[in-house]
Amino acid sequence: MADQNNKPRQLTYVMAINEAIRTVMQEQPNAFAAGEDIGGAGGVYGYYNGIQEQFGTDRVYDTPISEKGIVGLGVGAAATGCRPILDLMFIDFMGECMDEVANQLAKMRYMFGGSATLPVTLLTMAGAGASLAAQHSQSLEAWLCHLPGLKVVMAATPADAKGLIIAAARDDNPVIVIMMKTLLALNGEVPEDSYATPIGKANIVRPGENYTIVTWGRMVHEAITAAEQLARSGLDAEVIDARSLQPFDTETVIASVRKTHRAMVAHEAVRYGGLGGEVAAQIQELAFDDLDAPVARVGAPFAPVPFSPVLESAYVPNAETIVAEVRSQLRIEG
Amino acid sequence: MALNEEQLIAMYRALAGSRSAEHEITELNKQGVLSGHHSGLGHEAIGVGVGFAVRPDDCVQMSHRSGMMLAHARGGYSLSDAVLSQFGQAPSHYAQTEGGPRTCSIVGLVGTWVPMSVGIAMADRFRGKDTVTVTFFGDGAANEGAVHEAMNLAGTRRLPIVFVIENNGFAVSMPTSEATAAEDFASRAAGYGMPGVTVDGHDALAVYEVATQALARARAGRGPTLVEAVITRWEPHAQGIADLRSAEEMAEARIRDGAQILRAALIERGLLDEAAAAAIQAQIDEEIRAACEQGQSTKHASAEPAPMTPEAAAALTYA
Repeated sequence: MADQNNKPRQLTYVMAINEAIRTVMQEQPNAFAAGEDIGGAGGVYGYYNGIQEQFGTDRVYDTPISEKGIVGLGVGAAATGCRPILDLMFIDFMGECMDEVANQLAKMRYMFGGSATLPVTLLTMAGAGASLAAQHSQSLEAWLCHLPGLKVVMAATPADAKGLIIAAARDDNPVIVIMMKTLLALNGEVPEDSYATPIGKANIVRPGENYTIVTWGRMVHEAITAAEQLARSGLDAEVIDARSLQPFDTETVIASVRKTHRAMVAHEAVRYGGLGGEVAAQIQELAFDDLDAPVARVGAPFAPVPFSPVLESAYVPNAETIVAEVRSQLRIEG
Repeated sequence: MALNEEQLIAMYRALAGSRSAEHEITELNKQGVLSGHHSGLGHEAIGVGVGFAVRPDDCVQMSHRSGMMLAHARGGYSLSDAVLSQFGQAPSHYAQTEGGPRTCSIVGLVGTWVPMSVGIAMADRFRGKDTVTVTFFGDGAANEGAVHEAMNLAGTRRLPIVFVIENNGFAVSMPTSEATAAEDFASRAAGYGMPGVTVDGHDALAVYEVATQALARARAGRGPTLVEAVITRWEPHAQGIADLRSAEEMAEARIRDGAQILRAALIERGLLDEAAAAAIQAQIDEEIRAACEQGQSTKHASAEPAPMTPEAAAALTYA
């Protein structure tokens, strides 16, 4: 709803998540939430503020520290007709529940011959930049995209945080929604009504003519900043927020590369074995003849995320990293 | 809730039948006619005892040992089905059949299904049902972390669930005495704020009694129970896996025999005599013989199923 000055409503990323969860709980009587500290504490990031108060303890289950238990009970409850919204405080905790995620959640439908439906939404938080060190700062989306049976999305804006959570909850498949802890205070336009951001559809956040940057998560914002800098060197970069990593919108990426002839994949995750390698491979498979340069990749060094803020800022890729990589790729001097 | 005369005879029929079917399937594995079986010999009284205690709308999460007996005892799953399923010619006891008792299949990783069972119990209560979930796992799985988390969650929420540990003394080759420093598994229940009961898993009537009480407790909203059914594993973990026990120890494992125990109990109560038991056995033997014959005669007809295309596999993967 527009305010008196007809300006669209602004909401922070964290409040957009909160609004999305409330919307899902209202729309779906069989939805319940389970996770650590999501009751009176409102979740450690605050996006569960007031939700248990509104929907009660039966629908908002504040669990003990039990990631295997949380995901496992979500699988069982989903197979029995509920629509669980599970909360995994940090994506780094995926190791605690990876069997339930990789072997149960992802495979149960296939192993039951298609007879089981698992409408599970798993919310989790990724990313560095808060000096939370090696075990609370990772970007592990590549682990999850490698598992047939899962859908994986990553929200870069408040509007997509809301839209992707609602889309995930409406989807009859397990969907992992990766959110970014450094974007929690980000403000943006968020429609007040209930809407789903389509899963499997990338978003061209900055149209451009002669360079393509495919990215996701926090790096979307770094890529936009980089594109502004590159504009001064005569490059008009198109920035694509992939948004949905599994399924991946190959079509939008390839169409862009056919137009721009030069491309980069940029993510915050460790470069080696990151999803950027998959995207680069898809581009060279499908648009090799359109390429004027090898596909560039930007990602974190092959090392754990440092605790020291100085080291961490040197470690995490940003707009400068992207610009430097483009200059090196295209041999632009100065 | 005591079983009446007719139910007791039905229980004996189910137990003797399960024993015979299990024996036949195990033998066919040893002969190389069938493969991959994890023999349930010695486990039958657990499945039959619990099978007679649960309601059809209670959800039972199967285990790979006693699942077949449980399905048979709950009804709708004949001995012939049990045998033919091993030849790939009937749905396995893991399958949920339309209108049949409510089951959830095992999954391939021991212990991992226990949190899922908790989710089923939670979903049932969430939707206002008065059903109970019963979940089976072994002494080996009991040491998995997921089982601990599941039991703790069920305890905190007082969920309608019964945990049944089939303690047969070995996790593949690891003896229980080396796998845990505790005397038993039932005492772990105290750590989850639920009662723990140890029962002789060879005694179907004792298992029935314990299960009935645990189910009533759960149904009344008083929370979960941990049942440890102690038995002996008659066979190696699976066909083709060596058992480290000596021949004497293997023979000793067979002394406690659930079918014999129930037969003796019913004869003592005057509900069964040798002739009646023999007549039941003859019917069982005939049903199993016919099923084996059918299975063997058509075994190779469908030996090579059509390969699944990648497209078909992908279609199964997502809703």
